[in-house]
Amino acid sequence: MHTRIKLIFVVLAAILAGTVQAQDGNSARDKEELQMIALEALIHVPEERALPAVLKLLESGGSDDLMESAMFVLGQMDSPEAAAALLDFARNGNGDAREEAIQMIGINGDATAMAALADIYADGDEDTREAVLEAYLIADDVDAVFAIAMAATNDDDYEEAVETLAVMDAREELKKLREAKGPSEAFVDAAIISDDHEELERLARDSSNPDVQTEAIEALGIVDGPNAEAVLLEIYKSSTNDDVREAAIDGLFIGDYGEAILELYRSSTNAREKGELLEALVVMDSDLAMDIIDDALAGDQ
Amino acid sequence: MRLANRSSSLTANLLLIIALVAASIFSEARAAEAISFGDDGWYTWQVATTGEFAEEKFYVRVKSGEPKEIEIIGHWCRGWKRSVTRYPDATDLGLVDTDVSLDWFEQYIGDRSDLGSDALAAISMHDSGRAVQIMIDVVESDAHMDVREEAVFWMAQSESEAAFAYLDKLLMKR
Repeated sequence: MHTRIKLIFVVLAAILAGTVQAQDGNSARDKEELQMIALEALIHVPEERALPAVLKLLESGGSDDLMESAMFVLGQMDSPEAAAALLDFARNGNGDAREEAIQMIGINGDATAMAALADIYADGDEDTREAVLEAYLIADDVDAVFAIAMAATNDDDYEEAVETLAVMDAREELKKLREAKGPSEAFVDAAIISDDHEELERLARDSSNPDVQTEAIEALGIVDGPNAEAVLLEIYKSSTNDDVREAAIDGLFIGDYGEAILELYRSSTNAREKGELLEALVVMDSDLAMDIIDDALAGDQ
Repeated sequence: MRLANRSSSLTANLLLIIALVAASIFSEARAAEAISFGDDGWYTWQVATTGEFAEEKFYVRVKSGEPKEIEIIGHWCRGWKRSVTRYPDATDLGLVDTDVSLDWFEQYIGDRSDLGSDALAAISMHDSGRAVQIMIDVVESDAHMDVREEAVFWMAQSESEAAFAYLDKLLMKR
């Protein structure tokens, strides 16, 4: 009996402790939520009043989420003090908040902080380098991204920089880069991103790098430029390279150019090739496949 | 020494009685001045204040004797043409005591319709220490997190030093 009472007390104490702990957890979460709201509300407040509050928060510290919000709020401010706080966090902070600080330097656009991003990129890890590229993208600093691409010492950094230039629609810089470094698959991706069908057509006709060429041919169907169908047909007809011809069919398939595939089917005299072209039409679920079947049944083809 | 203690205790009691009587008279006076509406339609009033909030006009739409909508038109929507001409037929209650106005809005805090949210906004536009205290009380003890969050938001917009001091403290709390 005595043991049973003891047990009941132990269970009750455990339940009580659990409840108190859960309440503490809720209250900590509530407090952070309120702090988040307070920070976000500061965006609508004159900077001379909002900045001191954010700087005090940075001094006292907080969770990564809270610091990230603080960086966002600082990014909306124009003063050199806000830029200095962002730069300080970009140099000395950590976690997602640090990446946010770097990106917000791009929004703030302060010249000193922007100039400091080059060193942060050079010394940073992959996430940091990505954040710096985003900051340059936000600030539309094409020259800085071009410099990174030219100086890149590994494929990943180079491709990231090339893609960023594509998002910035920096076609001149991409052209200069291709001339300096030669064609690569990064330029195919860049042409897709920037919807540059002329560049893609140029890469599709350039046989100096077969991998890049076949990828560019397929991508013509993705970008769906005004001449894509005709260019793919022409590449297919004029090439004797199987990989190039296969890529052209893939491009026609991706671009849903059924009429072009039908034309190739009708002009082909090779049974294996006809089979592949018919298969492409069937997979495309094109009515044109039925035309071919009807023709075959009628004995025309 | 004992006599001095008794005298100070008597003084304290006397002051307490005076304070209670004054509070009772004051609350009766406020009750007498309490905002009341007649027919359905829009009603408007201002509170006696200076600075940015001197321009604030509070509008309440009454339907079937009940407030249905609150709008605040003032310095923050300056230049917004419709704000000037929107409610030309509103019944103007004139200048209303700040505490009376706060009493009226306070009763709708936590109302689950827009009324609750707009009441908090209206309270934040009263240039008064009591307005800030009402919002602090909501932040610290309202049962609904969304209401507490709205109070924080409106404190930041209130342009009050006291509200900012509280927000500073809130942001630094670990």
